[in-house]
Amino acid sequence: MTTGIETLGGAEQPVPVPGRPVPGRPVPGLVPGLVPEAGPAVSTTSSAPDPIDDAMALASELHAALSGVLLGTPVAVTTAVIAALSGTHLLIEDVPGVGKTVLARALAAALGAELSRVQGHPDLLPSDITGVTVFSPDTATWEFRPGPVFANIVLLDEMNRTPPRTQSALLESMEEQQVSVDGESWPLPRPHLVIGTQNPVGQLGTYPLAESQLDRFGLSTSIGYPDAEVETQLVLHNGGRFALDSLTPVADTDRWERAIDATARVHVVHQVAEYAVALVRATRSTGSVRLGASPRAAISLLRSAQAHAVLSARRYVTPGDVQAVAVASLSHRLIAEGSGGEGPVLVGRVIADTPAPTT
Amino acid sequence: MTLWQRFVDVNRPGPPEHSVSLRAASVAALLAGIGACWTEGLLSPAVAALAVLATVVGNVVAYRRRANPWPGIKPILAVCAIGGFTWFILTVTRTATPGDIATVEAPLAVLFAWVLSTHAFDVPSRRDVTYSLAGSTALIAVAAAQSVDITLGAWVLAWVACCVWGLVAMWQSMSETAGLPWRSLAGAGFLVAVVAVAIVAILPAPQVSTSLAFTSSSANSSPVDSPTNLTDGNGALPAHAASPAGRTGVGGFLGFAKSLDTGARVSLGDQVIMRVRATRPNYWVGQTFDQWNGQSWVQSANPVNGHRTQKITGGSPFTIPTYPDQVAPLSSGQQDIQTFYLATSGPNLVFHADNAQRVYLQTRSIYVTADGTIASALSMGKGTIYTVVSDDADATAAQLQAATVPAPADQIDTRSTLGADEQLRYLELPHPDQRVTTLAAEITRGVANSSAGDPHTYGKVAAIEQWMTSHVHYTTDIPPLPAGADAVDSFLFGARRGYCEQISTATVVMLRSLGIPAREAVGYVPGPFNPITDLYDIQARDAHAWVQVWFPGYGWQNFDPTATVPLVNPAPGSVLARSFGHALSRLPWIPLAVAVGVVGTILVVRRRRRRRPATWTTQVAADLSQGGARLGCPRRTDETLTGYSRRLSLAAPDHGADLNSAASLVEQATYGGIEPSADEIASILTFTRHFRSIKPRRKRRPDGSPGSGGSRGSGGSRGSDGSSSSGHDLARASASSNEAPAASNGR
Amino acid sequence: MSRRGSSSTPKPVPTWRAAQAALVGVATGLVGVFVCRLLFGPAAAPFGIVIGGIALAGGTLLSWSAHRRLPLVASPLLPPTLRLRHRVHPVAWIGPVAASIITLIAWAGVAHSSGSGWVQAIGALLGAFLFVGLVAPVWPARRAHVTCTTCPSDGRAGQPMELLLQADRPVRVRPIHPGGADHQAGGAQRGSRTVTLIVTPARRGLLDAVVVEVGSSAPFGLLWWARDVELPLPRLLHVAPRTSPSDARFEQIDHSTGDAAPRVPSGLGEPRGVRPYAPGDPRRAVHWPATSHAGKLMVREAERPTDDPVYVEVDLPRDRDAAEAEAERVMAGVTACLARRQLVVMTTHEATGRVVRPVADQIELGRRLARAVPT
Repeated sequence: MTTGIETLGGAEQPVPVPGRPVPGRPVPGLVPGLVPEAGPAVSTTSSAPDPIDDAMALASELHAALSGVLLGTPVAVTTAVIAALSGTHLLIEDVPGVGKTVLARALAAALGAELSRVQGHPDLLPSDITGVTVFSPDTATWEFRPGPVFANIVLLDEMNRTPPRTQSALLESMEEQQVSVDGESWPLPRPHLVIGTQNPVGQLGTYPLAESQLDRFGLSTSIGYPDAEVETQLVLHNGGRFALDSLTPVADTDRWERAIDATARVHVVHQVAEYAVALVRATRSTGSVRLGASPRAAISLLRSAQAHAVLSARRYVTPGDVQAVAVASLSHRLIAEGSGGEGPVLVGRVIADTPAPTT
Repeated sequence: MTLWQRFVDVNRPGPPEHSVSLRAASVAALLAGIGACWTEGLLSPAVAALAVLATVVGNVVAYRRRANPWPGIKPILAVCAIGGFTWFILTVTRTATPGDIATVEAPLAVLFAWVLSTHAFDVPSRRDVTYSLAGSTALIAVAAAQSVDITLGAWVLAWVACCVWGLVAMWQSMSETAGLPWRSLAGAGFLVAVVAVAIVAILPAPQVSTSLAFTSSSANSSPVDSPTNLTDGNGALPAHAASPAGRTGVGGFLGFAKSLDTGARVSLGDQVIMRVRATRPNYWVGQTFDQWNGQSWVQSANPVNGHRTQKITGGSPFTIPTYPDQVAPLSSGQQDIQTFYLATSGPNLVFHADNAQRVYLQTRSIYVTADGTIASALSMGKGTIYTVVSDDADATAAQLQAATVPAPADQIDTRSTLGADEQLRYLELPHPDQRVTTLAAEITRGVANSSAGDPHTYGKVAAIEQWMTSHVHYTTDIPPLPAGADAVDSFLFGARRGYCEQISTATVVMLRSLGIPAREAVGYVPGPFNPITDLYDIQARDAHAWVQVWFPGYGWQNFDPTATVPLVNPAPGSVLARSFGHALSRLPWIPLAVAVGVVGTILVVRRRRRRRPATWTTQVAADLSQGGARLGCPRRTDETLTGYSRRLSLAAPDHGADLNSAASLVEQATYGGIEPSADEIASILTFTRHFRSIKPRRKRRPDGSPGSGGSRGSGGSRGSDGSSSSGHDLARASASSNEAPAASNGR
Repeated sequence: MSRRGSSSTPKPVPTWRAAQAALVGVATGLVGVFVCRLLFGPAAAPFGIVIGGIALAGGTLLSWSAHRRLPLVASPLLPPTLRLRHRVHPVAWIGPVAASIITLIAWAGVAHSSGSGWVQAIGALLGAFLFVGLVAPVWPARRAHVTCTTCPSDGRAGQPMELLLQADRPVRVRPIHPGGADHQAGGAQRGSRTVTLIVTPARRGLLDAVVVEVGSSAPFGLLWWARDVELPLPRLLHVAPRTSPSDARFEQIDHSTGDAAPRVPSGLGEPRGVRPYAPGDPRRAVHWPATSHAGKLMVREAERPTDDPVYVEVDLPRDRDAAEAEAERVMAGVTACLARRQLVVMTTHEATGRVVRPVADQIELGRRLARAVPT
């Protein structure tokens, strides 16, 4: 049975209702020949397509492409699509070997974007990320060699093994969309997406990210171990390499950037914004949270909800969208002391305790 | 902390009080007290106005300077207080009459007003304002001590309201709340009223203590020249009964003239003549008549007990001499103290209960007749007050039955005698009437005459009384007496309808015909008892005529076939309960119930209307919730409408498509700003209206979790088809059909 | 009285409570007989006996049910010596009640012997005012509902902190544990309002509930009735110990040398010398004087900071005051280490067992010490 988008984050959520069917794509189950009516008609003529419609198309194509590569992980796929659409950075907390790199590769391939990969280790210097100015004796000038951060998609593995100075260098660059090396600023390419990964905390010798740094990441997810059936498929198909190699890009960076802009303009009404803010405020006074989510989290939550609405082929954000992305958007910002994994539970409790608007 | 330090600490002034409401209430309570004192005549208008001015100005000044009160104010106020006390003591020692506390109350009121209005200048903190508020109680109490009627109630109500307001304002200031505390005020006022009424109902009526309150004062009086004629309140002669131009030629109060004409027909009203505070209710006699001429009772001009009317001089208090027929050595000897407050001007008679011993009356002299009539040398104007101390000579039935038995010679008290000529006087009849004698003998035949010499006087009197009660109809509506007819004859052998005069006259005539000395007495009987003031309000129609019979050892005893006077003052509680029940039964119940019903309906309709949702979206949401609650899945607070509709469609698969499309349309309208057309809205509303009263199926499905579509595949696919099955029109009409892009074909 | 733990079986009613109920019932019955006699005459005396019987039964029942409905659980984190009075009780009642009784008796004497009914009526009103003022606050004191909506998650002993309470009517809130000043829940007449309560915990520890006395004196403010309420906090509150002057044991590390030297919190560390430029060195590190000497690029070299952690073992003695003092010393010392950017690994004993973990910052240090219990 087609169920559409699964919710992100693992808590039981109802399936959201998407809007109009995607033009040009047959929708199984619907009576053929039914013409969609509401909203401005989608014209298939030569006039420039509505940017939001284009974003919706991009979203569904991206989702399909990624699902083809990553089997059995709908949550991670959806979160990645939403991160791409909203232009916020993605944090993946997971054990090694479940496909984080594959996800990043697939995303880059699908979006026609450049991918750079940085492996974190305790000796990593900030210049290894941002780049260095090198003195070239031939020309007797200082040349800037850009570091791996100058790519559309940056995959930073094992962030919690990089020393704090390197972490802050990367995160500063994420925030400011530019890199400062030796007094000169170099802008980062647009669009820019950082995928950071963490091993589960608790080991001596790691440098866990502080809350203010984790706050820079808009969404968090984890891929997790696949179930037996899927794992068998993976093993049979060489870990999805074939699918990855045969992945055709569904967009280029321009289309991606336009989609990000269009997503940011999705209609948000007052009640939905209030609901998002209510959720964020509720996280500040619940459980044993050291510090709740910041106002930046509310902005990010709303952006992610907008992306979820686009993914659901709707031109407006509903509270259901906010609920769907809340766990992914907030759980990494609320690290309570003690064991990890409390984040999603806390957010689930906050969602259950906060009344949702109906009208 | 030493005692001195603790004393200083307790008396340290608190922080300045900012609440204007509390101060206003305290001022208002003081004004109520001053107003009450002024109404009761304790403060002259000038003093009252000055006190009001001082209170208001003082409070304003104290409020302005509440943060830093002037330190010199306290010594000044102390000097003022001492001065006031000195003036009070001097005035009291100069003008007060001993045995009358009322003369102290006027200077006391002035002293209280002085102290309180000067204290108003130094009220910076909350405690001082509270003292001021409590001080108003003293003013109201002094006014209350003077009041004899219910008109003080207005001031008391005002004072109570101000006190409730003031105390609630004090609590508001303590608890730092703001705003008008309507509910607190109303609730507190109601509680106070209920508890006060309960306390009044339980407490016994106050008794006048012996030497404190022999009140007497004269007002609107003028001296009376004639020693024997009765005057009215203006001192004019003679006193008239009814209309002076009437048939009988007498006017004024019925009976309070030199003669009592039983032929006159007069109707008396509810006007309050006077108010009486007495130790116990009794017959308050004004005059007695000894001579009957067939039509009128006359006080004969012959001396009684060998004495003419005596003039007793010397000023208040007057000691009334006791005559031989009034001596009652066997009586209980209890004292009955009555105070009479005249509400209208009246005859210069001193009403009293037998046997009067002392009269406190502000006049130089009084006239005493040996038959028990006391007249004043000063006319009784409105506002006159006098007190009589009587020996309570009432005897019980048993005592009277024993009294007629001739006692042994050594036990006879020669002091208690009825002289021989007095006996003749009180047995005199104008003409013998055989019919009356026969009737009397017939009535008293049952009274045994066994023991020799025992005349069974009491039994005979009681028999006649009993006969009167059962054989005579009491009414004031009787035809006038025919000229020349004998009143008793035409009454007893005629219609047997009459009122107190006819009945008592007939009783006396019958008793005299049996050889029992009896006489007619006129005066007042106790009227309704006011439970608040504890006074009897005597109305004009309480004027009464009754019978007095002489018994050896007990003197003249009152008998009355028509009215009984209770032995003790009624408890205020029972009076209150009775009057409350009376008022309740007189309430117009039906109009009241109708009014309550109408008001209640209006309120309910208004509330219902206010609760109705304003827009169609809220209506749809409310209907869905209602319907879902009936199906057993109420909407959780954190559920969005589409999520809820999805859950509902699992519980009610028939309506699944309609539910989902309704929810998505609502969300589209609310969050997307895309309003569906009016037809669509109407069809949605029709559906939800039908849905909200959906009947739950007997086998209720549990809340299905999404994804368990296996066993309900048919229902699920029907729901997802949407337009192909029920709810066809709705799904086709709605733009958003319920499908997801088939992106997840990997599953 | 405070009750520890939950009681699932009702305890038998103590005899004194049964005697109290019987006494109340008898008194009410007598009053009922008296009132009935007064109001309805002597014939109503049997009716009064019936009322008295009902009052006796009712009073006993009330006393039983009131006894059973005492709240049962007190938080185990509250000190065991704390006695909570959950029932509504008057505060400092002797003064107002005695004054009222004396006033009424004096008034009754004067009024009764004056013979004036109005004076007696005024006295009845006075009695009503006093009665209502003394008794009416029981109702709001019983019904007041106070909850704690916001509290900080970390505090420090001896320092005041703010709790946000929500009260549904104007009441006076007085903190019992931990201590603090009275606060009035002012505002409007009806509706809920927010009270800011400032409490100062005296000792370190964990707090999951505070005890306050909620009192009211509505409507006349004559007498305060209050009851002790346990307010569960929305989150666990860790109270860190005070920072006493630093312990000498922590001072020694300052003087160590060599590899155990503490890390200096500067970007470059202690300078050590110069070395030739290697690609990737930051341009800022170029040492120009050395470069002009050597003829090729030379860059400064910094000391490698060391990263050895300081191991602290916290062993608290049994005595509460000594444990408090020890915790304060540890607090001061580790704070100093953290200020020097040193990695600290602390061993504490908690209720759940022994915990060995690094201490990241001041807040975590306070929490670890708040949770520490004597071995």
